[in-house]
Amino acid sequence: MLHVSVKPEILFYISNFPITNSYLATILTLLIFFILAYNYNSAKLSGKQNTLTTLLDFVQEQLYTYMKGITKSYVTILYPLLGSYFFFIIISNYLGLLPGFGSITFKPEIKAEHSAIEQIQLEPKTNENSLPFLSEFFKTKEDTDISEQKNQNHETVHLLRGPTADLNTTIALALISVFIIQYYGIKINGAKNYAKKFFNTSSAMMFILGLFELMSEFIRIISFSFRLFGNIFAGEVILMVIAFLIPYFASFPFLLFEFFVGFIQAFVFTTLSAIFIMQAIETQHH
Amino acid sequence: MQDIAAAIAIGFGAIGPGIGIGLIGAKAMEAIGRNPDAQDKIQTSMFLAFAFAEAIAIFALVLSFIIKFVK
Repeated sequence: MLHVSVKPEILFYISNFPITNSYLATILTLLIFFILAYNYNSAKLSGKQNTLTTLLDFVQEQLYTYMKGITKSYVTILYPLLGSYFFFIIISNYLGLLPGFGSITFKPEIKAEHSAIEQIQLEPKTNENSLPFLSEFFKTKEDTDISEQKNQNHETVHLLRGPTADLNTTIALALISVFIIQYYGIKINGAKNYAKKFFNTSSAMMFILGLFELMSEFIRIISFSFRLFGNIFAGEVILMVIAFLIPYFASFPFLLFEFFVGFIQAFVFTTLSAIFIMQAIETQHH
Repeated sequence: MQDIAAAIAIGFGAIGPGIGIGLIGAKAMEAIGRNPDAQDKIQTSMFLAFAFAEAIAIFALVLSFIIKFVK
């Protein structure tokens, strides 16, 4: 059956900390990151050149030259962050396309540690005044909700899910990005000059434009996170739906498209972060 | 009702970005035709603008998923 859930499903709890299926995949991403970095570092330190160093050198050189074109003289400060964004997002996107992601399901018995109040509410309310067979007609919405809630503990759950197909990951990345934009704007321009961009008191129209600028800073969080989440999650859903309709090789063209989309989204996230940081650093002088 | 809402959300939400992406591609091709040496730069900027325009369609898609799959 087809199980699509926008929320990532909780697999188990480690003493009140929920571990979701995309959290497992994020840990896998970090492991891959560390293994790549360790092998690259040890090969570079001993002076050898194997395929891994050649490949990573090529990718890094392209990315560094491109970032240098955007960020000009600040590339030495900004490249660690932007390079990390690129590699993390692209590894996350491609990890969600491996076999096993989205296809291994199981029915967990979640022994969630509910608080005492929740446990009282989870027991269905019995209406003792009515006749037993009439209670079916007088079921309120709360009764059906509670029975659904009890059934939810036994739904099938995917074991693994792409890390960026989880809105939590993308919102975290977007928050880091927007925070870094403000941080570098304030650090290089000074807090007063940077605040003048938003609270421009030269004329009434510029003041309203400044407020719009402030609002668009917050909208950027949603734009960053939903762009990445939407592309990757929609790709996952399309692959699942097509595989559900036509079992064998029909999802292959969509898989190729997902490779392209994964690369483009990582590239766009990095480039947009770089462009916005440069906009914040070099504020225009009206 | 939820199904209809989800279909309408993505149906109307994909009109604008579709036209937008077509315009971006057309202008990019025109620019490349005029100046074939700048093809790399134009192609990179085209992909960037394409991702912006597609993001709007993706917002509509995510909303339709939320409407359909979240009770």
